[in-house]
Amino acid sequence: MKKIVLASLLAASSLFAHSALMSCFDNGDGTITCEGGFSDGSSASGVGFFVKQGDNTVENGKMDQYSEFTFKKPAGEYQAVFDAGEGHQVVIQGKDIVQ
Amino acid sequence: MCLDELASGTLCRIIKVHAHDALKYKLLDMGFVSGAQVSVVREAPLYDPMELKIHNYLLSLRKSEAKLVEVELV
Amino acid sequence: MIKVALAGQPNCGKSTIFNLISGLKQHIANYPGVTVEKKSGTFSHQGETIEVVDLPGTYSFSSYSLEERVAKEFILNEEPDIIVNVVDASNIKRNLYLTFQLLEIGKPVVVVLNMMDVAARRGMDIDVQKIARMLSCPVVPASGARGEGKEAIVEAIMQAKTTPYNEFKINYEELEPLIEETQALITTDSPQASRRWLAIKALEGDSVILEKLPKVTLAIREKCLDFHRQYDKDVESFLAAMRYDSADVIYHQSVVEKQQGKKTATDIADGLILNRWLSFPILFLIIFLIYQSSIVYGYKLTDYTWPLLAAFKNFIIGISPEADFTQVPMITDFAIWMVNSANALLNYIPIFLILFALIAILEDVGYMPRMAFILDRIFKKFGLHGQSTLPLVLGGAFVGGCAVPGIMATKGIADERARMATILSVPYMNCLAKVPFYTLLLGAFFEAQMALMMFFISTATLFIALIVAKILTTTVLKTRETSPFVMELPPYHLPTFKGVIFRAFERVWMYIKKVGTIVLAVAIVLFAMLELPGLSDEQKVAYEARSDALLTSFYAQAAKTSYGEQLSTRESVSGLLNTYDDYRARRMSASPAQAGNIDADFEAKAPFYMTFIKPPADDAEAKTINRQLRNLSRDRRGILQEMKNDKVESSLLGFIGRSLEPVTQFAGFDWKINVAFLSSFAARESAVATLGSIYENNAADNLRAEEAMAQNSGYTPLHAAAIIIFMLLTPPCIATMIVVKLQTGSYKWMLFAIFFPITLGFLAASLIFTLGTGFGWSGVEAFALFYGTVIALALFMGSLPQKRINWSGGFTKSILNKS
Repeated sequence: MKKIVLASLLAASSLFAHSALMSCFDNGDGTITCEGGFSDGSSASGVGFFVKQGDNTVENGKMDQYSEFTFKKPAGEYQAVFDAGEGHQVVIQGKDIVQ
Repeated sequence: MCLDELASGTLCRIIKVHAHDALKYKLLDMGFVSGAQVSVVREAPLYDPMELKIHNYLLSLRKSEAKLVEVELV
Repeated sequence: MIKVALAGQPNCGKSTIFNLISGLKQHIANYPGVTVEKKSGTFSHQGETIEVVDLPGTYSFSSYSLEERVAKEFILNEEPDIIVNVVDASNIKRNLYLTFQLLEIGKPVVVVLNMMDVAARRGMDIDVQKIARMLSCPVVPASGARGEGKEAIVEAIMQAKTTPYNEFKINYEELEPLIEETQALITTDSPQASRRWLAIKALEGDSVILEKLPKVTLAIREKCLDFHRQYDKDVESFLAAMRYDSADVIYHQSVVEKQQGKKTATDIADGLILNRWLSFPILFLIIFLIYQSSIVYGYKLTDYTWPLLAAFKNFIIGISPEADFTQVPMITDFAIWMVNSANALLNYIPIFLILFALIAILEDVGYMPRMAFILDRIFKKFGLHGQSTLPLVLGGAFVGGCAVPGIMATKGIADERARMATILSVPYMNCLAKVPFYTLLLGAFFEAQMALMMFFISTATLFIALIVAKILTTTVLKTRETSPFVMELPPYHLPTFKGVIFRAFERVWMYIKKVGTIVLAVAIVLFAMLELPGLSDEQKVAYEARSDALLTSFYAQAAKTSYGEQLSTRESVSGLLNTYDDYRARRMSASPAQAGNIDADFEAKAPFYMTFIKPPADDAEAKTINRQLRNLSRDRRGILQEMKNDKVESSLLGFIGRSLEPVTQFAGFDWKINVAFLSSFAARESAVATLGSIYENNAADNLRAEEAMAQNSGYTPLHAAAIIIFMLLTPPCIATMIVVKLQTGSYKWMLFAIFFPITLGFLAASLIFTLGTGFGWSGVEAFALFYGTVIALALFMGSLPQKRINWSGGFTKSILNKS
């Protein structure tokens, strides 16, 4: 019970840091670049990012020093996820990423 | 006897209010007049203050203040 | 024009009736010279203009409280035509106590018997006509919450204007001779009111009345003492008893209680809510749910509000002068700084809106007095009052709140000493804006124990507030007036949608006003202090050289393509770069659905540049330039960041920060920390941005802000612990200080509220840091020790006897001897 209380306290408090943002571009050469950021201007470099198709994680890594992550465009449906922690995830559907 | 000594559920009648100034006027305004009936509803979870029912409404009073109200059982 | 004074006891639904008859045209001011709110509204009916003034709710019409004095002065000085007295139908006996006093004044009175629906639900049959006969005045039944009764009330007001006043007289029996004697002493140059009323009030010892009748005062004092000796009852007690007796008579003759003795819904609910074992768990559960909902749902709402704020920011950037590569015009910098400061705060609005709405629901339902009832014993030990609960909760009892509405909510605390203590201890509660700051530091230095540390931080604040309250009430506030804790526990009722929304918006508006005014004003000052004197000529030259090098390399790369000619000037490249950055910023804050629109916009505005920003699949050259463009953008950002750091270091604020270092080093603060604290005085929300950007080192590392800080700053967890402790204790922000001044009415207290916490915070931080370094404690150990000390101190202080009540209502010899 204590863990739940603590966990929710934590979740609640870290929510305040800022809103997470992300935008993705199809580079037209078979790769996708996603750029992450935060509403208060903090850098997103080093923050987790992954791509999943269904239940599989196809790509997994961190935003580079420019807050970007480039990956090969998967075939079919997929989701790009900027993972800044509990409650701070931005998900973009593959079909919405256009050139 | 004094109001603060009564247990929950007791009904009593006020004989006299032995307070002065601010507390006295406040008590008078709220209806603690000689002859009025008061019933003790409960004590707060931490035993102080007390919840009383007087003139058909509910009121909270600290025990140190209730001590100044002289009552007789009904 | 008809002037109406609206009077009634607290919890009788007076505000609802006020809203019902005066509609939306309301005006809020203050009664002259005091901090009591004066609400008035105007409306027209059948060609007549009617002005309604809502008097403060009072249980009686004497002059012992500020509200009563204000109400009485209004009646005597402003001479309203009619008094409308709102009475709670389910609580007639006590309400009549005020009604009698109003009827005696000598002005026409219309009684509104409100909450008829509640009375009906309780099985009360009320003979309204009989009451009207016995009171000799019109009585109008109504149900404000249901919107019923408006026409009847307005009709009664219109009629009362033309009907002469029917004298209402209670036979005070033994006191009558004295009343007549006093009446005789009152001459015609006394205020416009019934002489009998003035006489009765004078005998009561009413200060406002006696002020106006100096000759009478001396004459009657002896007579009152005589009366007391003769009948073993002073005049006030006698009058009160007679009034309640009369109320009893009227009640029994006009009300039939069909459900007498049956438990009401309120009784059943209280059985659980005030139960010895359930009350605290229920209390914690309610507070927990409030915060959980407001934070989780509020945060989800920011997903929708942030794009609006971002769009605003982009708009501002758009209309500011363009940047010329690394030369950014100061106006643009300034505009961006201001928008960021404002946005950081405005982003919290959804959360506060939900939080305040939930708290307003609690208030409306009637839970607040129960909370005060449960917690009074604890609060009393620290010099606070059960009614301090709401302000402390608003200020941030669990995860976070805002001290500004918290302090404004202390208005209702009757006990002067507890009110002052509450005002000065609310700032110690969990300021929501400080949380990102904690998160940054915890993420950097205490990642493993983050949950535990956050728990410490959130709970320590309440204990600290209690300690401070205790210290203040036993020292500087010792001589303030206290009041008895006699509080009504009104029946529970369903909250009204309008009431909740209104109050929630009122408090959020308070928050927005603080942003719009104080924060922006301070932000302007801070901008100047962070920018000036600016880079030295040497530095400027060096940066220009680097910028030129970057540009040259870009030109070279571009020249290799067929676009080289068009991209060979600084102007064209700057234009390209700015468009690129603008495009990326807008895409970031937009939803995927809007992406198409943004693209179309830019294609229309700058088709040439878009070739490189979104190169077509088949144009290899454009793609090359695109890659170069991206590199150029990053490099430029790098240079701008370094320039900014240099500027801050040599700025006024940096100078102050550095000059404070010799002292702050004991707490482990270097000049950068000092600067971050100083610059976040406008609003704590900006502490993170400032601190974050000071340590941002984007060059080669691939680190998160927290990691960057952990590595680049050279701080240890112990440093972080000291910093957090200092942040815990410092006052939230300038806006809070302004509100302290408003509520206390003095600059002296405002300054105290600024310097006392800062000193306390600094001493605590220094103590922990110096001892910690000496004993080699880890950050967590040091903080745990601090936490433990706080709790122990709070418990210890709570056990100290509270300075005895200052109101002179204490024990009399007779009662002590009896037992």
